[in-house]
Amino acid sequence: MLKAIFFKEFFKIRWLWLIILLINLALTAYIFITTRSLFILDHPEVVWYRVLHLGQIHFEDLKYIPLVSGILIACFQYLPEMWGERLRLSLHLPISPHILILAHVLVGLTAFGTVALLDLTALWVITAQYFPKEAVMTSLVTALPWIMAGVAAYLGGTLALLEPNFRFKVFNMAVAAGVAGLFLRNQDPGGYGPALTGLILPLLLMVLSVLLPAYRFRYRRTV
Amino acid sequence: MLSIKQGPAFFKKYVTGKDSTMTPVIEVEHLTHQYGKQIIYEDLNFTIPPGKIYGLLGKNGVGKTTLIKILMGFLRPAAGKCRVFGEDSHNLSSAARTRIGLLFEGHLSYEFMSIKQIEKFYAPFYPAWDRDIYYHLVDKLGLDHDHLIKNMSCGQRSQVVLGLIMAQQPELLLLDDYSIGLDAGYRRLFLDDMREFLNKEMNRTVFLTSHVIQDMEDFVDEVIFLERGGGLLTTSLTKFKNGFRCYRVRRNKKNHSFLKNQDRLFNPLIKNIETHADYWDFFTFAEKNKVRDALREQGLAMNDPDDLKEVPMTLEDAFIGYTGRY
Repeated sequence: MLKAIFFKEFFKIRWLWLIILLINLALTAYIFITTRSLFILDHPEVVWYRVLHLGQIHFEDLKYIPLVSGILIACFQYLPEMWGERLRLSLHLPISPHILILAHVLVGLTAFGTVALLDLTALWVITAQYFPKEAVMTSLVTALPWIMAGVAAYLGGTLALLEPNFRFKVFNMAVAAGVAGLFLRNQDPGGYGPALTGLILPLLLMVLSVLLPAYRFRYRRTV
Repeated sequence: MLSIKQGPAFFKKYVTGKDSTMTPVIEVEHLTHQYGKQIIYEDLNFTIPPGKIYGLLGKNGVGKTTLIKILMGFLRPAAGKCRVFGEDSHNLSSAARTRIGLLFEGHLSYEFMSIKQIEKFYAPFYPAWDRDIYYHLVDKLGLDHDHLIKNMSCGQRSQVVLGLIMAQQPELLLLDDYSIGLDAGYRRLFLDDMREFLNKEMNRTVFLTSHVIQDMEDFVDEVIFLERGGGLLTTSLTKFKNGFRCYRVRRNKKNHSFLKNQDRLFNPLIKNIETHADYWDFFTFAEKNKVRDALREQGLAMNDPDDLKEVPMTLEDAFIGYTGRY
């Protein structure tokens, strides 16, 4: 049964996912080229100084891509469900609503996660090729909050789209914008490092809170 | 033209069709629902026994779709209980949902899928799934199995959706306004397919809503007429057709002032009145003599026996006469 849900959900986002994947591939290729050009135009020690001591981020173009990807995946996944309230078709299936909804979220997060993994791997490879070992970890810790902003955007989009009540919808969007904003503040490279573990908590809460609008949709009271 | 209707309470005495020896498939008890201040139902009660075909009929806006939504747990009623297979409708177990085939208004489906994909999607959820039933219906359309549902006409889509519901082999079929968007041909095809399906297994229950009463003739066992505010009449169509009458009274100088300053006729015998330029039509379950006496009591002068004439009605005439035109 879950396989059928996974199939339906991936079927909806497959083209978008492929496009996002290609855009991210192109972007990582671009980051590779610009990083390489830094070393062609300057001596390595100058580049290292700028990156390691002055805090210049050589992959900053990546910053908002996960955010946009997260929002787009949520839209492609849930707009067809909310158009004509087609989610009722799935909610009538003989499967518990929370498993159904979490399966939907799992597909979205997996699609997003594979792209994010590609970004982080590419960043690792590019940074390891040109910078010392400690710069690799700093780069990953710098990019990770951006990925987490994308997760928040996906979950926030899910919360807002599933919510049947307009006021709650706006509230959910505001909360999602706030949580995503938490991960996108301008910090020194690796500045989020000590807080990253703690910042997983709001994301976990958002995953669980997706069930609330889904239940409000399923068992609506209009009085 | 003016349409004057009698309140529903009096007609509750015509409620029939209960069979206490069988556990009902659907039970609605003291159901009350409202949207804001607008009351949709107040103290609505009825039961649907197994193995019967029930048609829920009523004009637009009386709450037919709302009732289906409540029965399937997509809306919580303000008060009262709805049970399906003995379970609270807002808390139906997965096992109960396996036994229910639900057609959503507008033949809702996942239109981004093809004929083949949607069958594959639904099949794992239902243990008794029969893909032959699905393809038997869908192949009548002569479409490729890779044809996308979004590229189909409303009629074609209705076949796909009906095929999916039948392939589940449900014990209860809930069909919300199956006729919407269908031309006469597809309506006929839909009902013929349903008949064929129901003839194979006699104990299936069907609860459908529609506002096309002609289609219900020779199809449903019982009809439930739902009125604004939740007035209810459960009867067989034969009983309704034979028992519901229309009497016409010509308007003339003597009776012209009748009903002039009234918007209702407070007589329980008269269900509904349609006021036309030259005549009144009185709709009732009562005999001619009783209607004549009642109208005289209300001040309508009738000296000639031919003043009150029974008018033959089609089923649709009777339905509109019962529910009112607006």
